[in-house]
Amino acid sequence: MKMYGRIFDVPKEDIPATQIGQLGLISVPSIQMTISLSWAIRNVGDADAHAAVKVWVIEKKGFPASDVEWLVFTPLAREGGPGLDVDIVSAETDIFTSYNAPLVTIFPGSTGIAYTALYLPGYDVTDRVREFWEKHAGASFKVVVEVLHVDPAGELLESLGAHTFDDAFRLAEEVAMGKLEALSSYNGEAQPELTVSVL
Amino acid sequence: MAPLDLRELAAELAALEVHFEEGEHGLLELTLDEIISDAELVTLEQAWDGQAFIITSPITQDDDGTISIHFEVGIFFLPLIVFALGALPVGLLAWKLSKITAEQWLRTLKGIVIPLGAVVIGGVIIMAGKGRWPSLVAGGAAMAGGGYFAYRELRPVPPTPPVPAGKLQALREHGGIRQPVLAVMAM
Repeated sequence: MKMYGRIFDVPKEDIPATQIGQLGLISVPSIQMTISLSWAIRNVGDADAHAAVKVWVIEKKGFPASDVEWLVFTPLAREGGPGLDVDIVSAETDIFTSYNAPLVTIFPGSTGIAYTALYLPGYDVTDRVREFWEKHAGASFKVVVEVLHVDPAGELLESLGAHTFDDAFRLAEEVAMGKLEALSSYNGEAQPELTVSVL
Repeated sequence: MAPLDLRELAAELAALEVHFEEGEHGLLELTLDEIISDAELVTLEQAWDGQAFIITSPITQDDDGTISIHFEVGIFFLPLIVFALGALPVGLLAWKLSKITAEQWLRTLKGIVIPLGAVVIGGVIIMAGKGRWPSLVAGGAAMAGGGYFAYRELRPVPPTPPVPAGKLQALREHGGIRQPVLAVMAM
């Protein structure tokens, strides 16, 4: 059986102060990649208010002008509802990128967490997905997040702020292979073990 | 008979040595050697019309060849006064423009452009009519209509009572964690 590991790698020194959470986790095997963004929002007004998060995932090519947008998710109301304006992953793999991006209602005087999570197909989903990740091995990404005040119908009222994670993550140069070894003893017990029970 | 032209008539007027003021009426009599046709009378009338002198009744010719031209000297200062009066509300609207909020721009643009157009059209009507009373009435009506439109578009709107509204703030720190938060995972 083949096993894969360390698909994503995020150098610790590149993590901005505002970038926290589980980063660069090893996945064996990888079936899904999740990019999640959240922002705490406080309602200082006198009525309920709604917030949503817009996200850009951008591959860095060395010069900003040559950067490539991989994913652009907009939570605003439009024909067909919110969704991905740009999705290079599904365009090249035929596997749709799914998302979870609720319209968060925040009551007066309280704080809520507005968030958007994007789910990309992982290494092991199909052969095309595997080729896709191998084709883009070593790519570096920045992630831009913008939090929006929207009305209950999802129409934009105000942009509350934006932030760029300039060194968000990087795809490893190559997929590390897991290597298995059959032990001859484990916890003082000889391996393999045969157990025969009679009840 | 050689066709009459305006220069010939002007020469006749100069020979009369009569000075007319704006708005005054006059009668010019020309004696020709022969009786001219009705078409030539119309041509003569058209030669006058459009000039400073306004023909107030059809030109006629007596049996002795005398042509009578009743005319009126155009009133040009009146359109200017009306034009100035029309410009006054436009100036007031421009003053109001400096006090409006951005949300009222479209409405104000209608309230400015359309009345301004009405004033210009009214002025053109009056000028084209050479200050005759019908043109004054029509031009004045156009200007008044523009003014009413401006009033309708730009009159003060009663303030609506404030509606409770949510006001959101994006926090930079929450629960000891700096915001926003990015998590990238593969599993």
